[in-house]
Amino acid sequence: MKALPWLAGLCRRRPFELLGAAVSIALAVAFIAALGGFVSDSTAGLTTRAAARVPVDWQVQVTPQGHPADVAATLARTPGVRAVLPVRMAIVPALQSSSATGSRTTGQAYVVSLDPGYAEAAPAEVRYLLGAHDGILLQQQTAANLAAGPGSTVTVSLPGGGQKALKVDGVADLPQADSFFQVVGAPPGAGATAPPDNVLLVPPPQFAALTGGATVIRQFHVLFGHAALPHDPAAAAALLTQRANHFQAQVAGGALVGDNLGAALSAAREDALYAQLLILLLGVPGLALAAVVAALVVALRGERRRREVALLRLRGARPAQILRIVAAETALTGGLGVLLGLPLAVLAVWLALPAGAHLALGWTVGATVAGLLMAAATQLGPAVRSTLRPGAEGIGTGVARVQPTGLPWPLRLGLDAVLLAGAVAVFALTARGGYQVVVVPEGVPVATVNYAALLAPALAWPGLALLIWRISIVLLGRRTGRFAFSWAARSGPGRAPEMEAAVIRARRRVIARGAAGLAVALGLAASTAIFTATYDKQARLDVALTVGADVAVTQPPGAVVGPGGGTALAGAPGVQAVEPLQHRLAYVGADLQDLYGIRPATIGRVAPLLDSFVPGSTIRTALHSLTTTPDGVLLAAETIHDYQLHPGDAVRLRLQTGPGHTYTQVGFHVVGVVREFPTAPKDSFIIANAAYIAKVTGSDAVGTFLIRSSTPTTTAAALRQSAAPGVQVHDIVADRAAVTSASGLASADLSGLSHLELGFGLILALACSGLALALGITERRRALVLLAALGATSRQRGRFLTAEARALLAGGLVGGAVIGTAIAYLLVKILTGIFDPAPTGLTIPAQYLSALVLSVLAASAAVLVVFGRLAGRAGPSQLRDL
Amino acid sequence: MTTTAAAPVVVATGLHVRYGTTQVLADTNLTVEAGAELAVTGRSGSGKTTLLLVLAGLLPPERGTVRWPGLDPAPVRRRGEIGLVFQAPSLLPELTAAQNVALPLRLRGSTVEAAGAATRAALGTVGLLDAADALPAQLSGGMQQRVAIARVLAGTPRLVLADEPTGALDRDSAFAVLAALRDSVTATGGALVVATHDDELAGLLAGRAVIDEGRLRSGARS
Repeated sequence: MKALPWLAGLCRRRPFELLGAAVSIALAVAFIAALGGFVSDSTAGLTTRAAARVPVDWQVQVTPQGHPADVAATLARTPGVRAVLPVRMAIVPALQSSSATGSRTTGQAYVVSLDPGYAEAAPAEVRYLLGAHDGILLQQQTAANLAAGPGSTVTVSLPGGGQKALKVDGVADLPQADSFFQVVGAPPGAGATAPPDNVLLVPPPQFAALTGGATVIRQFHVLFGHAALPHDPAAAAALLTQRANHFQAQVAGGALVGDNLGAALSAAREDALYAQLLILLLGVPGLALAAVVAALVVALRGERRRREVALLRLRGARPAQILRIVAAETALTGGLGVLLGLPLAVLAVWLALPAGAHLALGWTVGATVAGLLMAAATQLGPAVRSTLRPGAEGIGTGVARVQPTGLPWPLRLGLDAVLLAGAVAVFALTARGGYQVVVVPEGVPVATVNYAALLAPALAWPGLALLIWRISIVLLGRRTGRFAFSWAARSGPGRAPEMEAAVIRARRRVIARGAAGLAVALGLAASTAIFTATYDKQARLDVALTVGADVAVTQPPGAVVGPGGGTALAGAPGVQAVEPLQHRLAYVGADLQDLYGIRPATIGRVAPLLDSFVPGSTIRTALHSLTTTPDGVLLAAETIHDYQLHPGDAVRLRLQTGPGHTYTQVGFHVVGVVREFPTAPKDSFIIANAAYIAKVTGSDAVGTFLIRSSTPTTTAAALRQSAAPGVQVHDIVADRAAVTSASGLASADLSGLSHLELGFGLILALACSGLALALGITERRRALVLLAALGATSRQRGRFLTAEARALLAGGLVGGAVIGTAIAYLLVKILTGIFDPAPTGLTIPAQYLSALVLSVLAASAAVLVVFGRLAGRAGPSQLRDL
Repeated sequence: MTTTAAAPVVVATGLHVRYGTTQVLADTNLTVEAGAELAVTGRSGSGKTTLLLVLAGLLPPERGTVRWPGLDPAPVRRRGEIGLVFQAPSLLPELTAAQNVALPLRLRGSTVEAAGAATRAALGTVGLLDAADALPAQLSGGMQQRVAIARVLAGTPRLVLADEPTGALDRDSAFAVLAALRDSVTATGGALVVATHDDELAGLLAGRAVIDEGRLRSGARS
């Protein structure tokens, strides 16, 4: 027997079987290749995004023994350098302002000289708020402290004595003040230093006159061309470190490098590792499931394959000849699968991943090899077994083999219990370690991943699948279970529910196997959907916390707008509620902290408030405490700890009060602890009653109006149009794209992977349910023909099938819900690092899950109708086989 | 050919059946009257099984007609009046012997009790009452065939079509089973058609027809 005529016959006589096998291989190939596209795209994106977040790549500080000109020249020669921006700064004793309400004096202030082109070259460092973009500019907070603005006069106390009056041209913000004023050359892990409260930006020609006698810090802010950096963040960080070392060697101690870009890339290594974990946790189960689908498709042809092999042997074919034929068939289906799979992967990448993503060559080759191997494993393997089996019993028909009803060997050995116990143990250990799965020490090039933590889901997947198999077998073996599935109570003329139940009981092992397979498929789609929904909710919450509400309108420094200003905002389209939020600064001991004055009874109308914000209490209780204690404050846990405070303690804070805005002691009572609050920074801050703050400070000025809106984008657009100069309007939709998770893993990345997973998960779930049912029907084909010969109507035959389908679907759906929830829980816990804030529970995406269940039910119904009709068809050959 | 002068149970006229290029039945005519016992003999592949399937209404002929004047005109009810015994036992492997016997009755609307009584009687007739709760896989080939025959007996059909029903049985069992089938059709006033290679068995039946190259001709005895 030659292979080619065999293949030609196969193509001619059974094109759909061939196509079915090829499509199953194609699914796996497409999944792997598309996953590779995600990996390639996200890795490249990590470096680009990490670099984009850095305002200036290097801050090179000239040491006392260094020469600025030499340093600048050396920098200009450093490979990849795009711009070198000179910056000078010095500390002056004080700034002062005078107005009709009195004079104000700050403490020490930084005078900073920036070249005219600085803001254009490094736009993230300077944000112009009011007035001119050049000349004498006050930092936003300094302007507030001095109650000064464009046109005001401030007096600089000169370091060498004397004063110099300057006319303020504008107000600007230094959004990256933490890094701008960092101590260059501080050892890793030294901790950040607080940025100065008072900053004056001056043109270079005026700098010397203002700072004479002071120590001048000379820096060069360096920008690199990011496009040329390696895609892998770790490689890019290493390259930057090498360049920094080389530069420092060249200037021979003449300068220190603050490698902001290297630090950001180093931190992005964590993102890269989390991306790898995501691929392992979400991708590998999908891959395994794709292989299961391929095996199911091949199993549909299993009986025919056994008979073909037996017939070939009966006709004298040698095992080698038979294997050659099957190998040729395997190559044909595998090759066809690859040919179909690769365009499918391109389509999946185009649909699911961000624009510009494409297939990666290595992964595509890997997908091709995996597809061919999968074809070999699922087709060649069973054929080899049939070929090597002695005798030709595969030809015979007679009474069909009875499926074994006892527990299969993995369940007899208790493998499900062993695997689940292992998963629980590993998970408990991971939990004890605070879910620290990825550890990227600052300043250390080696990052570590606790890959052992992945054992929990890796063991849980098969453990849960086996458990579902066991439970299904046990339930279907019980009288009550059998009758529940066959709906015996609805007995009527022409119905034989006890027969349907008996068939289900006899076939419980194979039905339960199908149910477990379907449960795994649904579990994959459900766990991915739940994980993604949970991530999405937390990302939305993250943005909501940053913005403060659906829309936030922030007043410019120095503006005095009372709570009544909210009335004007309430008229904007889509606005449902407006809530004023005061923002002040208050000293707790020597610490200057942000203080937010709220209306505790109504703040919940607009702002996202969670119990996790107030450790050890509920947000309702905490707000109630504030309502009932007018001078109550919620303090950060760190403040409570550092100052040995307890709820009920009296505490005195210093706030700016009265027309002169002088810092005055004000008494408060501690009513609780707060960890997070909308618009508040991540470090220490204070929450107090707005009415009390207005009373003790003599000002009810609102910092931000928080707005709940049914259409945030529209509301924000309308408010931007009518906003006074300097007023900033943020909305939750526009800001979302800019906010990344705690690990920096952008939501766009995760959504790409989850789109791939959800798409393939749905297809695989449909394939699994359809194939499991089709396989069952195919196995029962002879029984269906016999039923027809015995006079059973097509409806009666259908009842036997639907009883089995109900059992399979019920087990699969319940099992899928269990697996999906359990695995999603493990994923969320193990990948806690990518969530910000950490979720308190799982978010169930009801819409996707409903669509998933309905699709599976629809596909199952279609298979029952089509295959049931085909299988029950009693043609001459089927009847003669009886 | 016509078997007796009584009212016909089934009338087949001008049957033509072809499998691919092979002509199996060619212009075959057969009328089986009530009370008739007919043995159909012929070489392997001569078309015996095909003829029975056509007479049962399971296989539509390419040409020609089959009518069942002695049976219910409604196809679904008519199927209940035709009992088929296949060459192989053809039992549902998931059901016990008793359930296999009761299945056609239940599908036809019999109550569990009525079907149970008929099943016990039929299994008793073929000597397998003790094996009522056994699965087919637990029975020998001969016992399985007896269960299949009990399934036909329980349905008290008016037309019994048996395809090599005793191939898997010993002589004594074969004669006993044939007697049971004859008794069954006698009781219902129906007809029995048996396709067989066994000349001795065929000799026990009142009528005989030989099928050769798709054509039916009368046998030696009436």
